[in-house]
Amino acid sequence: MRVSAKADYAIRATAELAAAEGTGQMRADRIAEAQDIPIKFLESILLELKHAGIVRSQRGSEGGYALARPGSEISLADVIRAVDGPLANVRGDRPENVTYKGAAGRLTDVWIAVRANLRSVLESTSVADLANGTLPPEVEELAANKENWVSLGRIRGVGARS
Amino acid sequence: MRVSAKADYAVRAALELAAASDARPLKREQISAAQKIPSKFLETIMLELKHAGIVKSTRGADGGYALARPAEDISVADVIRAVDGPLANVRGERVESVEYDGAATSLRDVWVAVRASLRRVLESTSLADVVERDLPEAVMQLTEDPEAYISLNRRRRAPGQ
Repeated sequence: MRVSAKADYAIRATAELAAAEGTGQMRADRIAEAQDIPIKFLESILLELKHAGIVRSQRGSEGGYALARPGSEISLADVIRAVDGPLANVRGDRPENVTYKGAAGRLTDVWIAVRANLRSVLESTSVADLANGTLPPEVEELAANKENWVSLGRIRGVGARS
Repeated sequence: MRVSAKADYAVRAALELAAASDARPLKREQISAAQKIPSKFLETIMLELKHAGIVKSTRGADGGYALARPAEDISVADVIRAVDGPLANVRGERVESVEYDGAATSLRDVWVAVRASLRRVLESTSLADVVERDLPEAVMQLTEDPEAYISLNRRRRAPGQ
């Protein structure tokens, strides 16, 4: 499962805008600098976020970008969907649209469960949470568990059901 | 978040082998026909699964592929890692190695939580569970919520939650 560069950059750009909420507009070059995002790529991302109603832009010498709604009402899932489409996809299809035969018949349910878990993290975390550094308790709990920081852990014994 | 065609095919091929566990090895053409996987792509995938110690192959007229370990000891996560590398990655990097500054400083914690939630499903589900249609309780609960099957819902947190 891959988080694309585009989704990663889009979240970081909206987090900068959430941190600047109430202080007027932020220019694209300042966002690019604050988050080390290539400016051309950022401009196309901001356009997609604008089309999705997540940011708005204003022209002129004082112009720039701001969130179109309060940062507390924009989830990370909203931002990812705006630039990458459905939160989870299997070979480009939505999980509920893939059908399997034979021995793989139940695989759809596995992907649906994966998506439900992704949602529980990404829909519950807002860009304001991210900018404030105060994540929802269930996300904090997952992030605080040291085991979750270990890569490639084949720690969870299959069959050890909890 | 995308499940690649390669990961999807690898899991399905491994499931066919799990269903056939006690019988004779399966030929590549049988797996390919049962799961509609392009035969050339399947060949690459089977080689990677073999290198990862998930399948074994035998030569000869009765030869073919079989699981190298019992199906209940192989998780869906094991198969995905064998062909796609780390279960979750951000721009190709491992989740714990990405660094963020400024307003995005906490983002790494979010990705760690995302990976943990992926693991909860994919490490706890074995190939045998899927074949026997007996998914772990925690996984079933996630699919029983009617909302789980609805796409693109923009549920928002209730204010103050």
